[in-house]
Amino acid sequence: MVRKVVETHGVEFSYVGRDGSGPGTKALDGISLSIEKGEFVAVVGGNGSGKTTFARMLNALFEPTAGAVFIGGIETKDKERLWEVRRLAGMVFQNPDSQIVGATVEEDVAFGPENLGLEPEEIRRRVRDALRHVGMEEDGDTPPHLLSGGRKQRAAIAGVIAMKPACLILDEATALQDPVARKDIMELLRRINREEGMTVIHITHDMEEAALADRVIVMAGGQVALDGTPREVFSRVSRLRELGVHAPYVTELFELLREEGFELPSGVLGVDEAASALGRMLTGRGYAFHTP
Amino acid sequence: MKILLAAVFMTLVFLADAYSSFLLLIVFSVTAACVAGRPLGHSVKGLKPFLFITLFTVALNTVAVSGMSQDGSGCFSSVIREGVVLSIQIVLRLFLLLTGASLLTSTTTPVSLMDGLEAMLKPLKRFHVPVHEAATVMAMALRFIPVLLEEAERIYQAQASRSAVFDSGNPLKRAGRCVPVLVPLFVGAFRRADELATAMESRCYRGSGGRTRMRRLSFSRADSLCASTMLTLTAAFVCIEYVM
Amino acid sequence: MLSIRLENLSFCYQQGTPFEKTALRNITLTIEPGTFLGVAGLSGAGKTTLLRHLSGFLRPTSGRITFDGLPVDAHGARDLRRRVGLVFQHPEDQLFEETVYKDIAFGLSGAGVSPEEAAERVREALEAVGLGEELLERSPFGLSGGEKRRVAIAGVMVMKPSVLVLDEPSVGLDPRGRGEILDHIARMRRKRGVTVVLATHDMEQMARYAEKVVVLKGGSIVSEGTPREVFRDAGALESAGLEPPRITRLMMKLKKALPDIDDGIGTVEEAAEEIKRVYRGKGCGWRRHDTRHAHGQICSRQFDSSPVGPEDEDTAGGRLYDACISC
Repeated sequence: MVRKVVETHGVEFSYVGRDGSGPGTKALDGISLSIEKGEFVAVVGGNGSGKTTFARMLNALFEPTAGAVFIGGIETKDKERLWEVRRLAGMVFQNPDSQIVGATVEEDVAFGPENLGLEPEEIRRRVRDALRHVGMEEDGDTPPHLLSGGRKQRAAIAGVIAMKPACLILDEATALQDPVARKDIMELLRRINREEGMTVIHITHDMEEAALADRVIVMAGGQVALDGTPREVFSRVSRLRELGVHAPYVTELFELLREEGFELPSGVLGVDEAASALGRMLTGRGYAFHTP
Repeated sequence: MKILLAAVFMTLVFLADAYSSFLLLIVFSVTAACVAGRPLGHSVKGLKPFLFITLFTVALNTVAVSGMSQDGSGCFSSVIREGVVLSIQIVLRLFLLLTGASLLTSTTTPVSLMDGLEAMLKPLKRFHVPVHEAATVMAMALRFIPVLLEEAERIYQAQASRSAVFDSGNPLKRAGRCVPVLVPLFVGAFRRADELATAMESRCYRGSGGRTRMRRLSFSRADSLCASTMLTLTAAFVCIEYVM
Repeated sequence: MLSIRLENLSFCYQQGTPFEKTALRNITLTIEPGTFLGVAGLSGAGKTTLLRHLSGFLRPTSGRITFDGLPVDAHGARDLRRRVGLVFQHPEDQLFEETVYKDIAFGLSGAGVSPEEAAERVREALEAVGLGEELLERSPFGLSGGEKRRVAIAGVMVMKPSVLVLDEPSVGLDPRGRGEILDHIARMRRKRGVTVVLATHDMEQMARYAEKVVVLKGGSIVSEGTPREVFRDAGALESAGLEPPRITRLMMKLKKALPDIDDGIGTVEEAAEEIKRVYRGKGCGWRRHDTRHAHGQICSRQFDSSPVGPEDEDTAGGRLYDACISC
């Protein structure tokens, strides 16, 4: 078993100029990192920071112009094992409507395994298991266009799980969803991560979602600008602002107050935690703010 | 299989002439609809938009037929009756056709329809026709029709909210005024196509090679049951039409 | 200026077919000139359907909508569309011209505007969305997502509508792009006094920009009022699948221990001010002294939410009173 699910060494990537000549702008500029099995990583960054390019690099949809990417120990440049790389790095995209292929949920979930050339019995078993994992056993025969946005993304996640990937890569999969659907998707991801030990790489613009990850990577200008636990990363509020992102609102409030000399902890992420700390400061005694 | 059956059914509808064969076909389509779990009311509702056309046909037929056989026959009322009968036949034919067609499309998903088509066209593969790819393209096209229609409507309204005018001026000018809708529509369609292609590729799609199916399209018992029913139906039909 | 009034408005899609679906139920709402109205709700709650009524694209199935007291037809649908500018979801999908300038000016082509005035208006619209003039001759298709969207909004603003209706204008943008778009719209509104109607499910935006909020659920209004009134109406908000902004939730929790704190606050800056205010009041009174001191502040240092009995008098009273005087 390879512990490192994702490993990149000095990865660079340039889009080809429009006229087909000469390299365009560098979208990725020397990315070296590794992601271990079972990690839940959030990748954040402004537009043009290289997040999406990075995600597509992991799925061998792009090939690095310099450096190397390994998925489960296989180099993505290895043409012979391209399909294995694609299977291991399962992608879910932003718009559910342009990634659904099947006319029913079941058919769509089966699409990946069918492409792998599996036996019909095995496909059926995988589809059933995948639908169970995302809590959609009942929806197998439903046409996807009748589902809500959140359930469409659930079905898309099942479609990837059915291929038994080493990691789930979500490329802004929550960006077009409403708050209920976002919460739903995040809970599902956390559960799969916890119960199945699935590695999750979640690219998002929502800092509150990123705060739920084990590790946050901030990208800017094609490089990794910050990398650490949400607490470490989000405590650097002014640096984050320079990088075109912001910390969760509660964290920002604390940093603002700290700048003015208040003695408050840094890197506070949740509402409960923040209420306890502020309550202690303002009342002079410990106070349990957790909702019963 | 279903495609073939539907084709046979439609041919029969066109050939039908005698009352009893009509009766037979109606009974068949009603039972088929019941078996498929489709309430008949559904297909009747589906017919609503055609009601006007149907009534119009009835009227036209009545007049035309009665006009045609006016001379020679002294019995006016029988002529009228003939016209009405003919129009009723046409209405019935339309009804049966539509029931048959809607039965096919509502019980069969586009993908299995395409699988069926692909299977039927398989012989063409020998002549290096990319049957699988063509079928996939058709399936995708089918799937995106509603999406694109919706998008066209949205872009049309968006341009209208920028006070674009679509309905005045000469035909040439009018055609020119479609540009604000067509350009974004095409750009959107290409973007969607690109997204879909990326999504399919990332799910290991690589054309027909090495691909298996969850459901094998095989000649199952249900299929042979259908086929034998259809055969019986055809036989009965032939009896009524030509023997009797 | 245009005032819009909806009375008992209901709308059904595909009425009379098996696919009939009620999208709006008995909406009664007045949009006063110059307000910033937020329309909140999940996908499918009826936000988009409501907005399409505002510019006359949809006609109510029952009830009525009037503009300055008159129905759509009295104004003429085209004329009305010019006065109520509707920015659709993903407006960047409507760009089609070769240059940014031409695209923004598209709406002016049939309006009988002189070329000089058109140029002036395009420049104003571009400025209103915070884009530089160097973009004017570029192709709109080569811009970034956020820029495209702003060009598309400028294409509506160039018509100088008195009501600007925006359907989720920041969805899918990065954090910087989200903030910029709405900041520019808010600024433009202050400058020109335009009415703005903003549909979103982002309650942080509501807290920051809206003066009035209506919350939709299944096509009905379940809550309405100022943002703070709506945030406090937690039950209705929750039933609509929404939550108050995180900062408001934090303030609500603090309120349990600090009854004096304002829990209707929704933005980081306001919350910092409020916390400073409460903190400054620290040590200036105690609950025993009739809860509030002359300053109207609570002695937060020694605060205890339980009622104080006479037995507390001797143990701490004097010391606390000192603290109060020192304040």
